[in-house]
Amino acid sequence: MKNSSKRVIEVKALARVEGEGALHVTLKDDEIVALRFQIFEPPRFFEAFLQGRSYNEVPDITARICGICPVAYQMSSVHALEQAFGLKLGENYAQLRRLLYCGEWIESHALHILMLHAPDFFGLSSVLELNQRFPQVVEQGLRLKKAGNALVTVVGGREVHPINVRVGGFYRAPERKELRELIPSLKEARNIAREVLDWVADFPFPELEIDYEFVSLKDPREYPMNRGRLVSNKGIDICADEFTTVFEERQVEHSNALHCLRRDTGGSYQVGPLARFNLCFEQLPASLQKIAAERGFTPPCNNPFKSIIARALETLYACQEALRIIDSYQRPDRPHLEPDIKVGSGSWFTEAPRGILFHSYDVDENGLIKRAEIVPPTSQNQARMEDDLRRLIPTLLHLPTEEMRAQCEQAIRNYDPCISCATHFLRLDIERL
Amino acid sequence: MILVAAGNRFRRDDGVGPRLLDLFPTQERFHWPGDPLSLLSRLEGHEQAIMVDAVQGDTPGQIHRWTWDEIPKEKPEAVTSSHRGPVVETLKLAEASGKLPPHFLLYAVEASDYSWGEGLSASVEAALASLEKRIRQDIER
Repeated sequence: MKNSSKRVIEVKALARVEGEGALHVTLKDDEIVALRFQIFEPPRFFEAFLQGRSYNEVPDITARICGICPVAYQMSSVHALEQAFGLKLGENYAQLRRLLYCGEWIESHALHILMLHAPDFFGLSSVLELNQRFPQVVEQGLRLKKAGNALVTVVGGREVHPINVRVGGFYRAPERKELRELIPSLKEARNIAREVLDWVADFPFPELEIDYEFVSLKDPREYPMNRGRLVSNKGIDICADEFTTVFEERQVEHSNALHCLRRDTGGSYQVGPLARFNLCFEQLPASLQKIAAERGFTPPCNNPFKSIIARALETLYACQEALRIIDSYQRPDRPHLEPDIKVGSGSWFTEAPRGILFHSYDVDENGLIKRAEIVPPTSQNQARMEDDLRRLIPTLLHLPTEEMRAQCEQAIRNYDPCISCATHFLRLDIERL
Repeated sequence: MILVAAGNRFRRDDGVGPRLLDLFPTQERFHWPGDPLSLLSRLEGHEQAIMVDAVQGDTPGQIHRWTWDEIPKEKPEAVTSSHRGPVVETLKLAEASGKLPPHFLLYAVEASDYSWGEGLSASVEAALASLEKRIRQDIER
């Protein structure tokens, strides 16, 4: 007869994720009887306090949801509101917005790869230890960060919480000369991103294959950032207006963040770099497809730990794409087009560094917000993180508690969770009954 | 020379650093949003940096002035977030990577109130003038 065993693993504070949260796992006779990814960052109430504010305040208010990906909030909000007003912008505005997004992808991805996630692959607890073993990482991180910062500053007006984005375009369109001054730092960043990609592609990856539903934007013209239809490898193909017919946010008792799930099956899904890589590989330039293939990294990739390779590939892509856009930049005649204020509704999604960010608004005849709905990527990945742990933990039962805990933390960080965004951090308890 | 503040001005006394920055409008200054790379990036290349932060203590308003060698480092800081790197750990990373300015000072002000809202507690508010005066003296040296 099998003895009932109880084991408790507890991490008081799971570091290297954004925001405040915890993970609790209860095991009885090596069976998971409870698994809760808890987000106890206080609710942020952004959707409520947007009500009654003018449409033109929305990009700057929502940017404050996150200090890491404010551009994503600005991009999703302005596109949704332009949809509500029926305002169509030309390709030069689209390219400038894409350039701004490239800056945020470079900054955010560099931070996560080099400062937060890479230590996991060597059993190290911090970047301080990582830097002792790989002294290049801090320098690489700094150069990438500076290149991304400079880009966001020139296009967005300042490096954190940009102030130059508005419904209809920008408050000021940068001069061609200002953008061309960014070329040397972006070329340096491109070389560094290539080194980082080579480095992470050779990391020791835990063996785990999961049959995911990947969800991302897809546009035949380009690797997705600001436009495209929402698709999945399991049949989803929708426009932004249909988002809430396919997905729904559900309250769960153990988290201040809503879980976004498929409405029909209640199933979880994955958004972010690995989803984009798997669904939009052919939209990458041929040169990058070749570089990825030479490293054995081609779709389908169902190992969540390899998301760090996708993130590094996207960093390289964002550097290349920024250089391409700058090379062909045509300054718009006017920095923005004035929207025709009217009653309307608009929804949009864009690709934040960590995945789909959905915004939806109702606006009244004075341009005041009547209803706002924001679904950040971490809300969408939250249930998926729990499901990943349900798959991972049974493979770790032979390990000492500390190693088990470390791999669970690593699995959470595969998603680069931004919990501040999702409340709408992390403490990990594993309890064996 | 760069003046750096850590802290959140909407968490009462935690905002003593950013509040101090307001008093030095012409000085190169940086309110650190919390991620390690942005601090290293701003410290890089400077000969001198003065950083201000709130710390827990028993005497609200008491000011500590530490050189890099004097900063208590033996006890690990509680890590409750990621993109917001712990101050001393981030500074250790700056030192290890050669980004810490040779003349580095940390002013730590003991705080009592970390609740939500703007404005400092009376004790920390009362310490602000002395803090400003001492930092001006350090800058002039």
